Amino acid sequence: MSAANDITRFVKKLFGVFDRFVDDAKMRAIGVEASRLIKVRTRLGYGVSSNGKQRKKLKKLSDNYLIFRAKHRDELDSETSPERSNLTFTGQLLNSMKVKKAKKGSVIIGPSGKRSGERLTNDELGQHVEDAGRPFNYLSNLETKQVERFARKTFGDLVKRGNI
Amino acid sequence: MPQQKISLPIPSKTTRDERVAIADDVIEFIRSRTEDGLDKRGKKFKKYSKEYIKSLDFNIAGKSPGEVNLKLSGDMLAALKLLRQTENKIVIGYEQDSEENDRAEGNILGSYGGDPDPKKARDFLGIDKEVFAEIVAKNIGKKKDQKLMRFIERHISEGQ
Repeated sequence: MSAANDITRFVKKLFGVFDRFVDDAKMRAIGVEASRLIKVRTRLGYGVSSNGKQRKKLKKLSDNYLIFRAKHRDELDSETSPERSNLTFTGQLLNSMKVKKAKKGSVIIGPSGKRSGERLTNDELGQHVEDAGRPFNYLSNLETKQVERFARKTFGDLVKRGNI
Repeated sequence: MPQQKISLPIPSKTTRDERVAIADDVIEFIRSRTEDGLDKRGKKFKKYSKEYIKSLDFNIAGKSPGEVNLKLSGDMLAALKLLRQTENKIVIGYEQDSEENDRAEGNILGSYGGDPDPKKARDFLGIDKEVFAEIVAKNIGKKKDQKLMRFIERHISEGQ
């Protein structure tokens, strides 16, 4: 299992004229923007269960984990707090979000790389947190609109030809 | 919470596609102007409070204290939509009872979860009559003439 999210279908719908006009660089730019949106929203404390769904507050942290985080307050990343459920302790998981594959016909985003001092990869941890009820690596309905607007502003003409 | 919306007049004999195109342009104008830090009257938004600037959310969103653009996740501006269109008007705003409607109301009234406070308000939901006339004219393939301006002046509420 992998936490990677294939947003190819969304991009195909976005452009319509996909095969003729969308090159690797444009696919990558869309993937980078999608990753950025997911990272900020997750850090704000919201998850999304699948592409196009509404965001929801991430499940609260367990009492034991809250105590653990409070004890290790100094080790926490600057973009979290002991009480906040935002998939952040060291920050490695969300900071590793990137475009894993971007070429004509495919764009896949997700956590990547090894974690310092652990055997788990970020991808494996991403899948683990999803299995534990905190899915995050999907584009919400409103994030989809934001990516559409990003594409429209960045590639203007191209998207109009795709009749979004 | 009350639904946050604006109603804009449309001249007669427009098609549905034209009205939708007008609404798209109005929504994009409001989003862009807000991102530029300007309210519906074209004035700069009030600065963020020191408390908000020091907050975790502010840090997470990578915001800059001097750049007041009402964007945290970006969802509030993304949720702005055409609610309905008829032969003589378009209504733009937020889905009733949505999280984004509440956020919009907080900004528009300066309430932010508390009591309304005009001193803290950042009203972004509206459009200048001249700009609206230009958008209408462009989308119905006519010039922005005095007749169109008079129609808009007569039917648009002050402050929208």
